Amino acid sequence: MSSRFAFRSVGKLAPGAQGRFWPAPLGHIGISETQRFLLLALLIGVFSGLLVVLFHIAIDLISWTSLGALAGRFRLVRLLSPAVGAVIAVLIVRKMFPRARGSGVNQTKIAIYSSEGYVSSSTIAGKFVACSISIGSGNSLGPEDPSLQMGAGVASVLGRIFRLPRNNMRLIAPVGAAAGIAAAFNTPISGVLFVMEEVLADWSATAVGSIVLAAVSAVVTMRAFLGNEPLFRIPAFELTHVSELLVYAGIGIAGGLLSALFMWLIETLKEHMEQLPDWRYYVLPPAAGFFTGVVGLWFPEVMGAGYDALNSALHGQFIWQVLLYLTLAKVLVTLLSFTAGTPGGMFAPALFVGGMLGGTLGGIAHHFWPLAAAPAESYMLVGMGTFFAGLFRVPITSIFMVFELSASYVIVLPVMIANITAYLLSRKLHPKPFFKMLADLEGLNLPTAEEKRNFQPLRVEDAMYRVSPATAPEPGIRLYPDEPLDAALRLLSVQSRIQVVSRLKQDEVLGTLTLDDIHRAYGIAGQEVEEG
Amino acid sequence: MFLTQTTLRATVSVCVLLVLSIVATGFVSSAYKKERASLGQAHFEHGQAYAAGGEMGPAIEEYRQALIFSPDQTDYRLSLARALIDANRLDEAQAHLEQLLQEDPTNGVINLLLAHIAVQRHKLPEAIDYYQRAVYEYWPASEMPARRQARWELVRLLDQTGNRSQYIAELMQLYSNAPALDLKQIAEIGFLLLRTGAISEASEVFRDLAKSSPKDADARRGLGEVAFSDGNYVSARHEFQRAQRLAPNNPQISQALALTNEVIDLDPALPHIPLAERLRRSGNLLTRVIKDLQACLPEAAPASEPAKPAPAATQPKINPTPAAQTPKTEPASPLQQRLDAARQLLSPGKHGASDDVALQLQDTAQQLWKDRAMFCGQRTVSDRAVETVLPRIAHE
Repeated sequence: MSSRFAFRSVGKLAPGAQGRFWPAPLGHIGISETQRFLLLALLIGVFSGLLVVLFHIAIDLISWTSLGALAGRFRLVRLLSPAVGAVIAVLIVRKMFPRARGSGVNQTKIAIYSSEGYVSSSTIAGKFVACSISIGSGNSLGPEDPSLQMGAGVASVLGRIFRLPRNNMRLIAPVGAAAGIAAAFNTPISGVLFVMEEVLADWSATAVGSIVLAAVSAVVTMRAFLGNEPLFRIPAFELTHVSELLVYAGIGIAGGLLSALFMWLIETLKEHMEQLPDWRYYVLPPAAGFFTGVVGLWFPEVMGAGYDALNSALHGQFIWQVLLYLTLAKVLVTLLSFTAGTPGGMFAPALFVGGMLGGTLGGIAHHFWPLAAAPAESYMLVGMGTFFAGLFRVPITSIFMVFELSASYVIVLPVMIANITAYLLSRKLHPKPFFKMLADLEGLNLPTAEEKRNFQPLRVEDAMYRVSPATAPEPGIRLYPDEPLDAALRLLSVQSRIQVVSRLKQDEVLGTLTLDDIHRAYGIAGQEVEEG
Repeated sequence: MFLTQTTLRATVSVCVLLVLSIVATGFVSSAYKKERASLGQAHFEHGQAYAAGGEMGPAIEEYRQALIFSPDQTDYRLSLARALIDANRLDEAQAHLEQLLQEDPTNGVINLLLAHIAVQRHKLPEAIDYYQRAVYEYWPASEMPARRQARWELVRLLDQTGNRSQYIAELMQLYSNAPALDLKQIAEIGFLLLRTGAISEASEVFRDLAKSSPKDADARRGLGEVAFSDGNYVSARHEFQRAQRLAPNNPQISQALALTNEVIDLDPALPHIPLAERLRRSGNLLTRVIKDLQACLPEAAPASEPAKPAPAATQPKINPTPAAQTPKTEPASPLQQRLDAARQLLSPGKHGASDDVALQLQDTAQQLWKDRAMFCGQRTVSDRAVETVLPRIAHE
């Protein structure tokens, strides 16, 4: 499966590199390996932050030129800009930077699980150039997913420069990914949580520490150059009546349904497009871009990432009918741009669709129930999280993201209700998570964080031979019932039979464990998996 | 060797790359921010031009564009909110203002605009809250006249809502900024205080005004009104006469002087007047009360006619109360009977000349005045001189 990703990874690491990474100058002052790794995480954060700043500027400059000054004078420019941008971006990716194809999250997962943290520097360049052109020219895609991959790329390059040992190289890509996405969203907590929840699913101290450091340093760097401007300027949120929670639950249901439908549409469309010959790579993106341009003549808000429109909507610019049209239009153009293979990410469109959907339902509630329901803007914030949670299956990230964006404690309860509802409903209707679905469509077998979370490792108590009644312990190595079998296996190389004692009464032997017991336990577990 | 050649080279290279990247990004981002700011400024100026020409739709679009480029510019957002209020798009304006308020809760201008929105939505208590925050919070030095204007608006709103104590307090706050006010505004404060019954506060205002501007006719008129309200008609006449000398063509002064003269001529309770004069004044008072009452009962018999039972049709049509709806079979209503009795009282030579007769005339006048209030309500313009004198003799 992933042989194309594994070809350079190990060979690049010098034999015996363990302990030689960036060691000497700092080794003198007594800095441990872990601390050095954390310093490198800091450095990764700064570089990723700088890259995201430049990426952001590049997108804006292209957008001002293609959709601002020129489109103001010639209407035709607005119509053709996304198509032209898509053609250029696709040509750049396919002819110059073929490794920059695909979803940033999945490519980062490949780096972690298949190619030992390797992301080529050409991937960074390719993503940067192609995505800034496609998003800046108005294609309905977002900059966060490419930022995540570029961050992972920066980390990987630095890891190679400092000749990190193999185990650290695996960890370095998610560190950069967190830095990239945190800087792109300007939300450090959400950046960290997303990587922990979706990409890595590892909560070890080193992982958390380095990811947090990288995310924070990336956001600080980004703010140092672009200012403290938040992604959205959010009006004050208030819960006017407790019955509003029903509306929020309704938004959760709508978000869950729409995200499941959206995934099904992507899956279906992608499957059909995969049947087409190779010309599809060059024809479909500009066709989707042209369609985006046509829709943009009436609804220019759906072009590009859409954050400006979302900001305006958060300040009550649109009535609920317009919000509904914008929701549908954005779903349509994003669906086409994404399935056609135009470079760019899905995070910004997901926030847009969710926000507009929430605003629509909130507007309807406010229209028919003005005294009990808050203005539509309050529901937009919650809506943003629901579609995000339903689509990407990251409920905790979505809750924290809205919390971080709104800086309002009052919003937590409605967001929790709505997001968890959306998450569970979407999971029920479309069990395969978004990134897993994309990986499958690309023929990649990548583990999902959701699967990892659901995977329960076997413990000593699952394999041990129980002794009844409990006896007194003999001298030698002992294990506790809740320890993983992996730990037991290591000890069995020293001692062929190990006693298992209670944590509460250490003089009470509950059972014994041998290699045969472990074999038997794994055999039973394997049968259960086969049986489904 | 502890420090290998390779790792040293890598560390140095990365450090150099980091410095170069920071410098390059700094250069690019600085140019980018300048460009953003200038684009924002250009859109803002277009917006200002449209707004000045009263074209709110395009102005709003331009302000919005300006905010996309410079979202942290308070001026841009404030101008957008003003334009939205002018275009009656209150929800949008409120969202922008609330956000500004979140960032700067002590800004008087923002609170004032939110007060305007609340007034337009007829949410008066909310409007008063915003106005109070507006006048007591921070204002830039250049906007101080707007702050005074805000207080004036608050005063008018409090007047509408009938919150007397707060109204007087705000007027006195306005007056405390007297050095910044013109004479007309000070006089207005005094008259508003007078109208709400805050006589001593009004007196203070007019006295200060007369002291600082002895030639100000409004100050004299104000002092005259204060004296009049206090029942000190002679002093009032004196002040009105001085005011008239300062502003001979001012109709308000002439009217006030005429009224004062009339009251002085009508008041039977003035001290040191002989009995004959008191009787004459009491008779005059009763005659005017009857006249006023008949004016609002157009079909009633004139006071000079001999008393006769009033037909049912002459009963006041305007009276919705059962008391006034006399059955047709009844020969005369209680009101008609009282009117007849009053006319008899006025007949010459019917009664002797004594203080009791004067008091009886005054009591009858008061009783009929009460009837007038009951039957006519606010429908007719009452005789102001009578209206002034009657409560005074009741008090005496």
